[in-house]
Amino acid sequence: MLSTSRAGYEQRIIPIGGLLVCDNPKVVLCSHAIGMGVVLAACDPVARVGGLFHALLPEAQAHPSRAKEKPGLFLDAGLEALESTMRASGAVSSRIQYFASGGTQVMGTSGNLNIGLRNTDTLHRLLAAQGITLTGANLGGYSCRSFYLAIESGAASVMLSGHLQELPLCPPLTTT
Amino acid sequence: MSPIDDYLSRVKHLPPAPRILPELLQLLRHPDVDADQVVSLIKYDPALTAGVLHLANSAYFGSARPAEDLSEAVTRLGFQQVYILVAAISGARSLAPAQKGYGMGSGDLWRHSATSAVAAQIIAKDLGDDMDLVFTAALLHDIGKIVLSDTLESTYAVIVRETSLNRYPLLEVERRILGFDHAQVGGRLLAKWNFPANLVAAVEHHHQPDQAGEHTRLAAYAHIGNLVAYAMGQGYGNAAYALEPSPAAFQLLGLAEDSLTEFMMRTFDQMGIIDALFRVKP
Repeated sequence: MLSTSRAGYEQRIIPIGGLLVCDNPKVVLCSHAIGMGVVLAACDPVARVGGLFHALLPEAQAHPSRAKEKPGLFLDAGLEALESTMRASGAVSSRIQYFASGGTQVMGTSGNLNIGLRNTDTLHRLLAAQGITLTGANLGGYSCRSFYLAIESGAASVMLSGHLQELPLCPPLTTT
Repeated sequence: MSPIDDYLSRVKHLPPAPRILPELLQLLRHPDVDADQVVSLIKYDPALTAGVLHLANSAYFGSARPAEDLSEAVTRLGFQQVYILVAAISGARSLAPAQKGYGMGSGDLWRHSATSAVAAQIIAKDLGDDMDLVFTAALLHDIGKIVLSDTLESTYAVIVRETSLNRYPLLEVERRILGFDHAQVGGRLLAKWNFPANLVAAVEHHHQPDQAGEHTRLAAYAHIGNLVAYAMGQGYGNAAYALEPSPAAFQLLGLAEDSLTEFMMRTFDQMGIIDALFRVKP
């Protein structure tokens, strides 16, 4: 259970809009309150470098000053910052595994009000453009989530709000 | 007796009524209200007084010199800020406990409600509407969930199945199980507590604001505040997002649907106030 505190391991919580890359194998990165936003995490299991960001919106275009201050608020700016920081921390692009969680959707609309759907669509488009395949994902559905990434093992999992059991993210899993 | 009234009469533990809110709202509407009148309304509730002082002196609201009594806090913060603190603290008494029937832990509903209220208030300020009233409507929009939670605990698995697998909105699942939904119960509860008709209607119709009669505008604020909170990840519990956003809510306020993202960003900027409100012990 990655969500459970273990002796010798430290949980680091990344808030909404936050982005963190870490090369300490004894750290479990986690993010909570993942609703319509998306957490994208990356891990190089050989270099034991991991990172994640918790985006609220797909694109930074309309919010340039916020994106400069907090690239993790936006999927496009966050992905760019995550990749460059991972590489700067010793990760090798070809070894990086990616995990995604969130994009919770609402019902009856596919337009501007369904931010979760817009986020997941943009995520898939951004990743495809860079030739990135997700190693594990838990996207869509109607529940808020928490996400966990253990840097030492490269294992990732999610916990749905209102549930007690963690869902491992390998193999890829979707609730929609 | 209506089915909802009959249900409410059989509920063993109703949440504590935030009775001070309609009184304070009415008082603050008078142009010549003075600080003593506001203080005299609050001071007989020791926990509320302590909470207001605690928040007034917190990192978010505080100034270099702490306010030592209620009168000083009211003078320093101003009526509008004091109203928010009073509404937040009295609302927290009802909204803070875990709601197991909805899969929500302790503080979850409270955080969702406070985020909704702050978001709705941001919009009300832009549009020149009564910010205190809008804050209250959005803060209390889900108060009916507190009443229904115990009843729904035993049918939790049904809710999971109907929302996740059969894709029914949570509101519809409640109606199928109980014959009514949390919005209707919330409205009825506020009416029972003698809240004004506009707040009753806004809470009762926060999922379908265009059906709120002459109070559609206030209901639209509650709806959009609720939606912003969900978009910000402040929507907890099982299948919390199984809801249908109302485009009519945006039309009622003259807002474009794509303004939702801008309100999300501005609510994000106010997370400090939400955290400060969340930390106070009701």
